[in-house]
Amino acid sequence: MRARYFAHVDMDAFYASVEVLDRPELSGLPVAVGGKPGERGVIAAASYAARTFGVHSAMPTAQALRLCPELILLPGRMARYQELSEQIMQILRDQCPAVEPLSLDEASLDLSGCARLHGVDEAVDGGHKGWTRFAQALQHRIHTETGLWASVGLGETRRIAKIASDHRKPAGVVVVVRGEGRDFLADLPIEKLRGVGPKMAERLRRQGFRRARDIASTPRTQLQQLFGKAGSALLDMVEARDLGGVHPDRREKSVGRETTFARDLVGMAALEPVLSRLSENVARRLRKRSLQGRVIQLKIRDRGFHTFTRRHSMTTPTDSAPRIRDEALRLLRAMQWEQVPVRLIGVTVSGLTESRAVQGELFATDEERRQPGIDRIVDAIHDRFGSNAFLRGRSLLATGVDRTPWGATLSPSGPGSGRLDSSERISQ
Amino acid sequence: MWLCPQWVSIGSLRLGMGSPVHPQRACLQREPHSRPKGQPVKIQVPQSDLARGLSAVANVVSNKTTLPILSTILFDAESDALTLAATDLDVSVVTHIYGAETGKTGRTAIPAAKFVPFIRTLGPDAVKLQCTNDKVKVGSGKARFEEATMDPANFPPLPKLTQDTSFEIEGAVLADMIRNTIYAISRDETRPALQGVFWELGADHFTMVATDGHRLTRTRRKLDLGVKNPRKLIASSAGLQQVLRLIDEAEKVTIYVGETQLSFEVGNTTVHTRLVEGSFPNYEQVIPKNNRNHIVCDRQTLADRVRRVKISADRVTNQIRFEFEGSVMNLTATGTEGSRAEDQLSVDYEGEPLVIGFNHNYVEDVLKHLESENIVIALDRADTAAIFVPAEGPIDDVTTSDDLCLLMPLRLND
Repeated sequence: MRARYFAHVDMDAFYASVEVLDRPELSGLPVAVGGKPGERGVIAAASYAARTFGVHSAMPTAQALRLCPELILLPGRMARYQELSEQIMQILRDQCPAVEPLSLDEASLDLSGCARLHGVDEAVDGGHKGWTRFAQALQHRIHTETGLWASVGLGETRRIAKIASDHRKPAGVVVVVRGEGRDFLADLPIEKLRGVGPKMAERLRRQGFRRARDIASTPRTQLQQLFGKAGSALLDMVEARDLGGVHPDRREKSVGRETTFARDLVGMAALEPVLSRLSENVARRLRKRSLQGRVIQLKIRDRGFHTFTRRHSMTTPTDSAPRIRDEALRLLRAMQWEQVPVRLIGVTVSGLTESRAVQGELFATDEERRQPGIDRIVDAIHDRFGSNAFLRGRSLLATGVDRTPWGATLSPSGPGSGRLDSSERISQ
Repeated sequence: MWLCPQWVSIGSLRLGMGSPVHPQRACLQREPHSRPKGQPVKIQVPQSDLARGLSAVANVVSNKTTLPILSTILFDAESDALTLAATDLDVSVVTHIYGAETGKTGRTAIPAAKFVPFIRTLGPDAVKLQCTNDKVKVGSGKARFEEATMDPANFPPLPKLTQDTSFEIEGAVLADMIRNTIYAISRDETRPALQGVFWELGADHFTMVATDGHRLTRTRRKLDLGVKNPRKLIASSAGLQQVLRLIDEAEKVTIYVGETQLSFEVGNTTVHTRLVEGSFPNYEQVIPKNNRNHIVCDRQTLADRVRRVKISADRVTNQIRFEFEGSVMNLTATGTEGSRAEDQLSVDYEGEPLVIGFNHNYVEDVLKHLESENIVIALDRADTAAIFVPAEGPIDDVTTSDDLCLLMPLRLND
């Protein structure tokens, strides 16, 4: 098998660094970008100075201010972040044609087969020196052109690359060449492994697992006994067996998207545009993966953290946003939640097939007939100009036109305005 | 105050569900709270008559209903007949038993869940029913059964026969027409009009059409039903299911068509259903007129091939690929896990080579319901609807066939 290589580029404290870049007087001070504490705001990014106080992203702002009362809290400036992000992505695209932006500040590069192009000789020390030079040059170029620091990780799989990029943050370069994956992962503390959260870490530590190598040296049966399926998955991970999607048995079971609101939303008028956007997003990802799904699931959480799901199986599979949205809306209406404040809402499509066969409709409206063509054009625009270049009218917020990117912190426009301040998770 | 507080709260909750309030449900809600006052009833019925009557009505009784009265069977004992009735508010079934001896006339509502199975197990001895105002006592030989009854005043008012339009039809013909269409209705609750069977009642013909938006079936009989004013309506499939269950093919069925209601008199039993509201799509418009390519094949052989090849088909799209070339029809199915199956059969075909995909479930439904030995598949292109008709009919213009099935293809993207 030909060597596969991936690079993971992750900007260091991106939003906070951009703020410091634009306002040098903030340099060295604890700076954070996030929502206001009174509005259930969370920290989107914290400068390294702020991190020494224990402030980190996704932490409630109120808690961050308790840890660091002198924290300089700034509202996000999405347009500016996006501008810089685009600049960075362009630099990456110059290096390699296969760039997959994962968010504004993160991207994955598929470098497979590009070794010679970048002057890397894999015969010499597995290409370690060559790839390191490449990664450092990339990091240097990003810094000279934007003034921002990135951490770069390289590895045989996307996951190893991502872990490597996180290994020596900030401004780190970590290259894990072919055959080194096992040793690299073996030395990682278990908390650094993907899929290991605080609870799992606690369970592992209680059983005497400290580093990944402790997992590697334990028989699969025993791990399964101790941790169930998660144990087996951990071993796969540690043995660097997980080749990021090239395994045919790693077929996706569902594609979903959910969002948590800064302030609970109430009523269909507020929720409908959100569902519309989620559906657009899910449909686009289905199309990107050449999948269609037959089962639509709606997930909704109330302010007491009670989570409800409702699903509907359609007779024919779809990858079209209007159909997903309409089903999701129907499920939502059937729940009779007009008066109930909603904290989180999500849409998932399952019952997936890779078959592209489309069942013809006897009584299709013109709009339905045109949909696949429209989808193709919209996808092309999104791929080229980003996910906000083009939005369905129904996806706009009821409170007004708001083109701030999905998943971003919006500047609040007064309490109860129903605007989004969302964090998002991808469930697959 | 027994069932009332709880009943009202459940009732109003259901009423708040956004769907339009059902007229009968609304009238139920207005019922004043009242104590049960079943009347003292005394009757003696041959077991077989009672069991038959219960079988006729018990099918529409639901145990999961939020309105407890709907889990009962209404007994109305009059001097000349015992009438049983049950309803789920969409479909009501009423049957008469004439062999009963009524000691005391009156009405009561008996919960069906235990009463019906108990009566079915009884031997041939006559069944004696005795009701006080809140209890029924059953005796047959040495067997005894007791059950609390409900107030018959709460039972929804039963629909009356409307005399606007009525006609008689052979049970066998009606059953055949219902069977040929009902399988193709839509399961999509968002398209209620497609969940029913469309009827066209003309001066000299009776047509039924059903579609789920992907396939369509039309069955037409030239009958002189004596219908003066042609009518178009959508019959509820739940009602038709009940009729199909009760039909004795040797007997005639009388159908009463009202403004909002459709009733079927089948022997001693009457099925009432509401007409489905909404408009049925213009089905004639989607039957293609130009069908250049005609394939004639043996129905059973094709059904066997489909049953074999579908084993490998994708589980979500159910796609089978059909290739017609010369006198061969080739069937292929490819699943996502690398599974593949193929077979062929010989057919009469003279057109250009053609490849078309279909959902195998739809094809199997069609082959099950066209009852001729050979069938004709007529189609124009791989992306237009294909017509399936019995080969006995007019082959030159298949669209005039009395039994016609239309299948939209699965667009093949491989």
